[in-house]
Amino acid sequence: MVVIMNRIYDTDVIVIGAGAGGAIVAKELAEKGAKVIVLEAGPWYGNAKWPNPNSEHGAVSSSDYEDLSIDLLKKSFTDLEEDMNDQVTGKFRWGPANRNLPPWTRKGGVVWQNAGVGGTTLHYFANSPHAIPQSMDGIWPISYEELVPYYERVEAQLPVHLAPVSPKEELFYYGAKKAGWQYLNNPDVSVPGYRQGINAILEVNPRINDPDFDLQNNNTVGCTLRGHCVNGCHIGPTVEAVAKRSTLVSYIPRALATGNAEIRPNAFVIKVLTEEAEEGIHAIGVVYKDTWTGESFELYAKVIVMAGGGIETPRLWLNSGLPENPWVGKGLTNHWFDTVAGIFEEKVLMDILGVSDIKPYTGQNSAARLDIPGIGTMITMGMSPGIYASLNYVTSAKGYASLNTPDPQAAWDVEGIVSGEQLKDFMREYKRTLSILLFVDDEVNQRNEVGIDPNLRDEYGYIPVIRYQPSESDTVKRDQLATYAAELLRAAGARTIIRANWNPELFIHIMSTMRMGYVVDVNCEAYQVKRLYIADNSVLTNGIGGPNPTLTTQALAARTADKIWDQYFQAET
Amino acid sequence: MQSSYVQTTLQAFADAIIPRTPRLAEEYGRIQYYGAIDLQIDQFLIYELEHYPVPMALPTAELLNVAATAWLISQGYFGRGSLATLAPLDRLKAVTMLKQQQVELTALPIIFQMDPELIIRITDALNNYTIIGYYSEWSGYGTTKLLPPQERVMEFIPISWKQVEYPGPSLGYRVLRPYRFDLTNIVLAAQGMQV
Repeated sequence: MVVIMNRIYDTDVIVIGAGAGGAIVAKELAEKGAKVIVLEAGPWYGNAKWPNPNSEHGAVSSSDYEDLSIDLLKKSFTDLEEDMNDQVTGKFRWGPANRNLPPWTRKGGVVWQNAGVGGTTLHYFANSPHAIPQSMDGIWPISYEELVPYYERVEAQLPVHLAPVSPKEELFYYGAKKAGWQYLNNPDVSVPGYRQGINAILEVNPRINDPDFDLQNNNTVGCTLRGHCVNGCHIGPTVEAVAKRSTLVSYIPRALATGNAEIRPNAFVIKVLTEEAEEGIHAIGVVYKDTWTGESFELYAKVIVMAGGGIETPRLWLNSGLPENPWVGKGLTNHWFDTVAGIFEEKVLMDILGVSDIKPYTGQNSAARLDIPGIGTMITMGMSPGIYASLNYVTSAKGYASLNTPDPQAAWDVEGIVSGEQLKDFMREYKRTLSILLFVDDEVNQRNEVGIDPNLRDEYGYIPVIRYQPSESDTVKRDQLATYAAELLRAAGARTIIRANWNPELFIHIMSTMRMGYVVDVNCEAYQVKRLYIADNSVLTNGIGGPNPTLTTQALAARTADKIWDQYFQAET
Repeated sequence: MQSSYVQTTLQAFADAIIPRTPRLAEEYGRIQYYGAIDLQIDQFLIYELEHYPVPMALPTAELLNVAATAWLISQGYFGRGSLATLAPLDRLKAVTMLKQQQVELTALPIIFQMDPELIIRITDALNNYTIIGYYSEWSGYGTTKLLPPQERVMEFIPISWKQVEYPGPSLGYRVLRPYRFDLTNIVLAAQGMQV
């Protein structure tokens, strides 16, 4: 314990949330010499202190790299999609470690987030592109160039690589070229075009195509193209060498290795504590609850970093009674996803690829992309059949396809929720189906927000309420993007094209609810509460033009760690 | 144990989404016949709904049957409807009435009257749960499938995986392609210049 200004501090820095952003801040500050405690609401998989993370409380915290256990990780990550990703009971749900308890409630939509050390990077595809420069320059309070060194730092640490090509990516590139898109080979994308995916997955094992390479007893480093990114990757000889670079296996082990970081899972922060002093209101600590016992604890630190994600961070601000600000929780962007899938004949695939199917459950879940600045992004998507069918065929605002009259002008053949014999017929052709996931560059609008319900509470405070209504311009862009995707699939030779047309109440890229320039300053410190920083998707000033936001949030988090150190700790050393 | 009322209703829903398909079986092999009824997806729906933040199986079944009644009335019939007695396509039409807010709110279970948005959430969730239950590993848990998640064990390969030719989890695939990008027309994106 350290006593400064007559206060007893438990640590230098408290980080709320061990996800994409929190883990980066923790590691960067611990490496500089700050003592850091990370409070994470969900479980910790692959740690000897929690041998049965979903059925027993286990220890309070771990601060020892030696606690990491690849055997336990492999035991928890079963590769079974319902076990891992079921939204109600899955290991990657938004809910407590104890799977016999219900998930945590949000109102306003379905949110696909993970609680746990690693946060939503536990199931993310690991796509790691930069922001579109023109979506930042002149709009954000900092320039794209300002962020580039931090992108490079995080890219080296994770690390980030160009993604490998398996049949589904090759088919996508073939279609993109045929449809007239240009190939891009630069990370700074300012013109439309297709390019190799760029992701935080270790390079493919060099022996992967060798028939003598023993996949069953493989204990070497490298991705094996097995298609379980979303269901939890555990391929590697140690936790830190696991192929898909969730922060669980990248930044968290590095943070522990410094000897300065302690991570407490099962710890849900319910309040940020502040104090009024000469420097104004400043953060001094937090209250958190143990998700197994319900007990409350207080912790004090010199700096508090909120990194609970685009929903929980504004919720925590509001539940803590922090100062009013017209932009807290406001300006939500969500990329308003959609999918367009194409079914191919065997002969067509044979002619293009020399094989009669693409098996979307093989290869990395998402490894090819096409960005169209000003409109949005498309990426390939393939995985196990339950999630695949769910995202492509039953997630729709358009009602049941069998009740819809097809629009003869549309670039697709079927639109809406596919059901009945047609669904089974399409899924029968799962092996020959290429799916494209679309992200719209949706506008910031103050009416789109995360607030709290005035009446409904759970044990962690008033529950979050999400309100999101895309603008007319967002709708136009999305229809355009879906048309481009359908044209790409048609150019590649798809026989049947299905557009899902997702409802806007499905939240995956939850961004810009605590925007830089509005709620936080250029250093990501809250304007109204000193010593309180934010390091998650909520500080993005907008939806960065459409690309996957994680790397941008991580680059910003690395930068924020530098700023925190310079502002509050440099002088002490 | 859930009442047969709940089970019959949710089975009718799941069956409308993933029916038995004799025509596909005739054309592509017997395995294509089986549907949600055979994999007991109604039990998955009940499990999921009962583990929602508040138990929802009974109110959801009531919701679906109120929708069935509304559908019948809209077609000029009278009396109390049930989803299970409607033809599959009509079941979907009834559910669509819920989503389009064409069903009198006061006729619904109280939990939906208090939170009308929940009607949309639950009907979307039913579509999604049906699919996840059917195409995921869940039916393969066999005799353990209704136990708490930590106690389940895989007993066999689900019929649905055979239908879609999914081989199940794998430790790797030898599918790396020696693909070369066409570099004759590279665009240096930052400058938008051809080289």
